[in-house]
Amino acid sequence: MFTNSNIALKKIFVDGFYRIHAGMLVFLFAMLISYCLFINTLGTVRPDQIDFWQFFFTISIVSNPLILTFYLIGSSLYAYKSLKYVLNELALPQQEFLYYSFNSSTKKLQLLAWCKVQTYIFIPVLCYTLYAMAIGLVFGFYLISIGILLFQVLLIMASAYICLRENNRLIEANQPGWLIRISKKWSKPVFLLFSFQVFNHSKLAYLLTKLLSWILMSSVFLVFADIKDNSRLLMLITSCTVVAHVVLMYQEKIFNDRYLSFLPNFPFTKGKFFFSFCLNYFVLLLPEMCWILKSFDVLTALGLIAFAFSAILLFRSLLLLNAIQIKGFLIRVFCLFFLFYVFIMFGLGLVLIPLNIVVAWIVFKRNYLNTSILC
Amino acid sequence: MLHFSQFEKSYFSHLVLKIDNIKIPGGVFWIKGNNGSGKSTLLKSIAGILSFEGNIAINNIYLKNQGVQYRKLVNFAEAEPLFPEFLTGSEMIDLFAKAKGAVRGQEEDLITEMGMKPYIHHPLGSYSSGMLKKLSLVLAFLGQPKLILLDEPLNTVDVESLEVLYRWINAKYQNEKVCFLLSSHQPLDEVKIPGLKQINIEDKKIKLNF
Repeated sequence: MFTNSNIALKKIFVDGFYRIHAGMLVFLFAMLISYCLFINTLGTVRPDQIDFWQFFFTISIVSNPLILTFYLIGSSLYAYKSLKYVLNELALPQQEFLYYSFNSSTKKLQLLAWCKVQTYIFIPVLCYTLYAMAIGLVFGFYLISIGILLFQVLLIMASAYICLRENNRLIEANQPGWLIRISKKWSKPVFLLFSFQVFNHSKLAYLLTKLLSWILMSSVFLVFADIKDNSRLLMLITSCTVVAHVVLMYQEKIFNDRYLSFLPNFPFTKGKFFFSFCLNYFVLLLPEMCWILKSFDVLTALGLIAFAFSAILLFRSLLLLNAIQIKGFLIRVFCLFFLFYVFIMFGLGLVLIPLNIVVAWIVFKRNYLNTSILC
Repeated sequence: MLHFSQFEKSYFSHLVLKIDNIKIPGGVFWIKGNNGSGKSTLLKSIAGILSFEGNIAINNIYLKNQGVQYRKLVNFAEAEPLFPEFLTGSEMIDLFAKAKGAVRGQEEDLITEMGMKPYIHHPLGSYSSGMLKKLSLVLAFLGQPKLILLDEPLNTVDVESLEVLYRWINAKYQNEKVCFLLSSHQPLDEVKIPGLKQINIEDKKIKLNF
């Protein structure tokens, strides 16, 4: 009975976590791979030097207090993300049965099960910790090495305890978010509902996306002083910014499928369906658009914004492909990102604007209702 | 009224429904079938929500050729409706009323009769499944549809509201000749809905029992 509960918890929370966050993990993985294998370094770096720097970075975790602090903050953020995911899932109606079945076993067994769930979710972080710990122990950094592991075990146990407490309390009605309270009197256009959902439920995902966008833009600004004259670089940054928003696009697809399933029954033209959802991205990309308009001349800014929206339309259309999952979506996005890179490097960046829109329209029209039949 | 031509619906190359060429006249129809026989799929296809092969027309207006006009003629209420939790009932009604071209004030009577006034301005996150179901029924009656599709309309609805629903169906059919397709596991009260006809779904086909 208890083993069955464990399997159910694992399927609901662990498999679900990896499915939903595959994007983030694949993105990190792709970044690491592309960084390690494809980056061209300035000057010649011998293979033994690469090994040295990788080793140096890993040993810094167990020897350098600053890197160690960053690593611990990163672990805590990961724990927060996993906890938030589990608590959000627990609040869903389909998981309500856990409030009248699983919590009838002893608290000890429940805590053990939640610890297992959190440990499974923590596997990627734990793997790296064990690797760093092994190196640390070999070089005599015993206290910090064991300390990192203990810290992460504590994080797992604390998360498990919060889940246990949550699962054993009586469910209360959720208080609507601040935006919902202040926007009570506003008219909410149907094509803007996802923006409300983001500011109501996905604030963390939105903030992380903005942080990623900001890091990309600032780093390029810091590295390239002559950015204002380099249109290719600007288009690359814009495509990076759009790619930073793919997780939100996937969330929009899930939101539309779940809560706006009635929309296809509305008497709207396909053109309206195709373009109107851009309203969400107009709101969500407002900070970046303001930055672009403030930093560059109007023509360049409008060109960049048009390129961003054409890419968004294309990425959104990909999501209509039958039964597409986040992994398949991200692979396609990365392929397109690479294609954008080639076009931009060959000075054909502006051609991408009409090309993206045409391809997006064709994909949309053929897959409007999930399969290429209704047209 | 409703015309299927070479209709075929499959899920991942598994055929679920096949309707060669059938014309369904006006009326109130009860669609009967076992679990998984394709009742909801049929209704969602007619509503223009699911893709399919072939075509469907309401009064010679074809879904695949005149999608916007067609969708103005057909309204749909889901079996288990799910709407954004941060919207209120009245916001949802405004949204549908605007899209479906409802005349101003049409919703007032519907809300009052369904007894939804006390909570219509509350966020949908605070609604019970029965309240959501009643809201979806109200939404299905907005505008000037010629066909209303109700998927499991009896589910989770209280007895008083069911009486109201039966009254609405009869009034719409008798006064405006609006056609209804109702799918239900539970027996529909033929006394409450006079002239109720049956359509059976068996072996991936529909059979008109009238």
